[in-house]
Amino acid sequence: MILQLEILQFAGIKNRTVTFDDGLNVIVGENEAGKSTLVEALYSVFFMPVKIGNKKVGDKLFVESAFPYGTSDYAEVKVKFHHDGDLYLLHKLWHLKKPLIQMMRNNDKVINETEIESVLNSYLKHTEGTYNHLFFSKQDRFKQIFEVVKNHPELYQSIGDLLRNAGYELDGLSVEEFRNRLTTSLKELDSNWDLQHERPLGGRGIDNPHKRSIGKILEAHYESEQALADSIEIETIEMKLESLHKEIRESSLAKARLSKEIETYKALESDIRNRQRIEISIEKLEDQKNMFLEINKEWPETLVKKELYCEDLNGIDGQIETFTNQLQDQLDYEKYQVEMAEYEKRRALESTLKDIDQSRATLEQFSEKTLLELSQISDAINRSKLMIESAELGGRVLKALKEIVVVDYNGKQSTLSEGDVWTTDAYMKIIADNTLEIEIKSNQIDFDSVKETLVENEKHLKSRLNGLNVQSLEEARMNMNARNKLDSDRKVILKQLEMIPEVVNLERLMEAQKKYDLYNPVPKKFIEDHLKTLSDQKSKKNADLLKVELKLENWEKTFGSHETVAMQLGEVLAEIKSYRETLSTMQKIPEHFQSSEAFFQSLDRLRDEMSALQESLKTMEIENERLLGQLPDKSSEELKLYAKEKSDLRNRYIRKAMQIKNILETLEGVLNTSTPQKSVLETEFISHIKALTDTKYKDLDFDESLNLRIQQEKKALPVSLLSSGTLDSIALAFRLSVMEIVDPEGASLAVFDDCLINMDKKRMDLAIQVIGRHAQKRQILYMTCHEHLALALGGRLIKI
Amino acid sequence: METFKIFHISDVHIGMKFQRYPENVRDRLIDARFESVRKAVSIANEKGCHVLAIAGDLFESIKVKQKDVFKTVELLNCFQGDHIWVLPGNHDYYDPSLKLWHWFMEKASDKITLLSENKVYRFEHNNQEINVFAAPCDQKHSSENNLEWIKKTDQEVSGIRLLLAHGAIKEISPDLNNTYFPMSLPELKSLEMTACLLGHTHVPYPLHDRVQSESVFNAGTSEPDGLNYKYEGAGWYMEIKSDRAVYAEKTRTGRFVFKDLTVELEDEVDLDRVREAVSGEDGSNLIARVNLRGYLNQEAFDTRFKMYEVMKKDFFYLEILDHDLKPKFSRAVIEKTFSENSVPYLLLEQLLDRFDEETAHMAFDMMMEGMKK
Repeated sequence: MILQLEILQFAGIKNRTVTFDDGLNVIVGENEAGKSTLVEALYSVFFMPVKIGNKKVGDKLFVESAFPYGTSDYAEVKVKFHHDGDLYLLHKLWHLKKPLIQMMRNNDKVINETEIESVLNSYLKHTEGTYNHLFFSKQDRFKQIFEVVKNHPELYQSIGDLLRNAGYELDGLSVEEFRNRLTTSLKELDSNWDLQHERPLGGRGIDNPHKRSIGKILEAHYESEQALADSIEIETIEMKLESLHKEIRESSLAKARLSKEIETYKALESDIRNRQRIEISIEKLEDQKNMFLEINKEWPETLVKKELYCEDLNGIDGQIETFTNQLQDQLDYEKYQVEMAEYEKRRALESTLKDIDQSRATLEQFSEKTLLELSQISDAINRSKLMIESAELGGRVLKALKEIVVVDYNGKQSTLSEGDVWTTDAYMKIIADNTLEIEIKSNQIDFDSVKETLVENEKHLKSRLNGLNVQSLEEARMNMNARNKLDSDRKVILKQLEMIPEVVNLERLMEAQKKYDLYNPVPKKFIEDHLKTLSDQKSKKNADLLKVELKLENWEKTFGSHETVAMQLGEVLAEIKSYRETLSTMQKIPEHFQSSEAFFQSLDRLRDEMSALQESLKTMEIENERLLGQLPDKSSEELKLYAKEKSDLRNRYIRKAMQIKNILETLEGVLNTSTPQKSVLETEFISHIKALTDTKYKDLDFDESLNLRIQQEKKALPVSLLSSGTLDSIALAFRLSVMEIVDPEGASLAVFDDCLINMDKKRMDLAIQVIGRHAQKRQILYMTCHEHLALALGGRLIKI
Repeated sequence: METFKIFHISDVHIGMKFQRYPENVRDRLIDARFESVRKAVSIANEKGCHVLAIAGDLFESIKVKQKDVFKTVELLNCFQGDHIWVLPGNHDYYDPSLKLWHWFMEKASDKITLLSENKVYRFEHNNQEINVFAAPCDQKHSSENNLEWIKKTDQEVSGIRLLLAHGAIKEISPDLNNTYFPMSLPELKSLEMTACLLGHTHVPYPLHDRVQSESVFNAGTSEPDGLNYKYEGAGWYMEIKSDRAVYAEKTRTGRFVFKDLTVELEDEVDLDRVREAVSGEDGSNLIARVNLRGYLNQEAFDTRFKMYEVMKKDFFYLEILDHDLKPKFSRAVIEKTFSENSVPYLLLEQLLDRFDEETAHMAFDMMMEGMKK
């Protein structure tokens, strides 16, 4: 909406400010007062660029008309307007060299020119042509609207589109808008509500409610349901509380009963506890009494017993001594037997040793040394023999007329004939005949030396063997072994002898031999068994005696004497009597209790019950507090009433929604069965023309070339025959129709320059009504030089 | 014997919230309940009553705010007579675990006796024995009343015999679900009481303003509490003569009057019709819901809200429901407005044929709304 136009300098106007209201603004002034200049200034401030030159025709024309003729070289205009909730001030200065464009938004400067342009485009919405020829209708071209449109290609195209957009006979009704309104209203009501099943869409109740797009039905439904649920919750809590209170009361009664019972029992409790203590004391005293009675009886008996045990022990000790002596005798005898056996064995060994010494004396010379010497000689012999044998000699009788004799080194002869072969050891002597003897010696050894050694050794050995009186080395060795054997035996006997002690006192041994010759020994085991039995008897008796002595000692220690026991017994008896007398004065346990334990168990049980009850009451009281805390600060009755009201409201909304639905369905049916006849523009145009001519003209349409066709009484009427006033009505109807269609919101300013002046009074009144109706949603500037018209139009009157 | 005078009220329901009403109205309604107690005490003092008897539901619930309880007790403590008998009802039932009655008794003067037990409370007046048989509620709901113990009690208790009980009375306001300690008139009469002072039903009984030779009394509420309560708030001023005859007079204690009305209109919003419906009432204390029905001519329909504003001046609070109020609508309107066989014409015609005038009219309104733009 334009709020103010400030013309600092434009054509013939200087420093003039005009403010405008919403709706109709009627600017009245005489001819030449500057009404048209004002419209030009307003138009220019929005559409004329500030940068102008002197070459373009349009710029030249602007400079001629806008710059004060011959006095100044600029024009300057400011306009203030509201757009999208912001206040803008647009300031333009047209100058050939220093043009200026400025915009303020809510007192903040808009620096960027692109943004200024963007704001202006957003505000103006329509093209310059639309404003120039439709919204800003200048008087001189008012009637020529159709020609103007035809001459403006862009306008012609867009209006042609409107005409071709055929519609229905809607009598001014915009089906789309109507349908949208119905749909919007229906949505406002039934959003997320299932009208068919009469429940929230998806059955989503208050436990899982829709959170967005909640229609009025659903809102009322949820409110009703919530109130109902709250009332039920309250009732549930109330019921719980009632039940809990009942429970508390019953428990309190039970507590009172229990308390009373416990009090009764408590009065008995002290006596029963004392009674129980006394009974225990009596029981103990009875035990003492019995004990004293027993000791009193036992004391002399025990003394007798002690005497008897001592006597028995003396008898046993005598027997033990006898058997111990017998046992010693037996041991002495056994010792003698051993000593005698050793003596005899030693004598036998000494005899054998004597024999060995005699035998050995014969073999004395067969010592190891001798044998070694003999062996060395024998070995030397053998070595010589081996040397001879190793130097073997052989031969063959190649030709012999007679036998020959071959003698070896031992002198052994072998007779050989022609062709015989022989061998000898190191030496041979061939005797052919008496004439021929050949001695052959091996040169492998020094035969003669070896032979000589051999012979000497053999002689030496023989001589030594003869000296020993044996035949061979073997015999000598055997004798040596015999000698060694005797030595070994001797050693053994000597060792044995070492181990047998010599008789210290042979005389005493011999005397003992005489003593025990006639001795008849008692078996040792027999004696030992008797001794063991006696020892056991003694131990037992000793134990018995000890027991008795301990008992007596203990008694003496405890009681002092037998007499004291008798005295104490008297005291105990007196005490028992006293207790029994006290008992007879005390309350007894009620009969239904079989014992004091039963009484106390019962009392404990009652106390346990009381404790449990108190605990339970405490829990219930906590629950009571909790439930009371939960109990909302509202009554269920009030909530139920509220729920009912909301439920009624929901039902009313449902009814309304169903009605809208029916309207929508019926509308679609009507549209489907109706034949499209008129375009939207034609329909709007006819609606306006009917209003402007009081329905005199209602049958109009356009051909494809935007030529108006008029039917009157079913006859075509040439436009040229129409009066000037009718033409103005038609032009006004057309402009308003186009405005209504292209700018249904009424956001754009409309300027009319004395366009009603040719109309008669009736038409003028109708036009005033129609303009007034448009002014309800659109800002309109109406210029006139007729004051009566200005007054008739109403609206804000601006005189210039 | 000097005439024994009692002022009997019940169902004060201190602590009601009135959430459906706007805040200013709500606050006044809440205050009015205290005012009714003040008024009852004041009337009882003026009439020289010996006893102020409250037959249950002095409080709205067992969870009334402490300050409200104290405020109530302070008002009761202004009673100048001998005794105030307070019987717990089903809304404010007695349970020792509840703080409500502890708070109440904490501030109560010696004159106040809380009749919280099923027993005979004995009082004396001029050497005359007054026996109060109390049948308090110990829970909110019960299918049985609390009169059984009285039936078992010796009927020969001498002196004035008064019953204070709280519950439904079958003959006055049937308790359909049998959940509110239901009693019956024959049952009450069989108890041979000098007078039965009852509460709960919110319906005053007997219906006459002055009665003699009646023994059963229900006080209704001391202050009306909603649109469904058509009576004024009142209590019974009672005189018990030496011959035990009871004279009782209904005495107003309440301020506000609730009216839930349906007014049929034709052509115009006729304010007189509404005024007629509430005739005799002081508008400044009148809370009403008026359900307007009928058909108005278009202009009257369009300007009805202005009339409502005028109408509201006559009431303390007025709620108008006009969803059953329609503008007159006919085929003539359609024909006058639209060309024959145009889409709006056909649509409205079909809506009239197939549905109803209301639907057609709704469509018409929505069309015109669009066209006005």
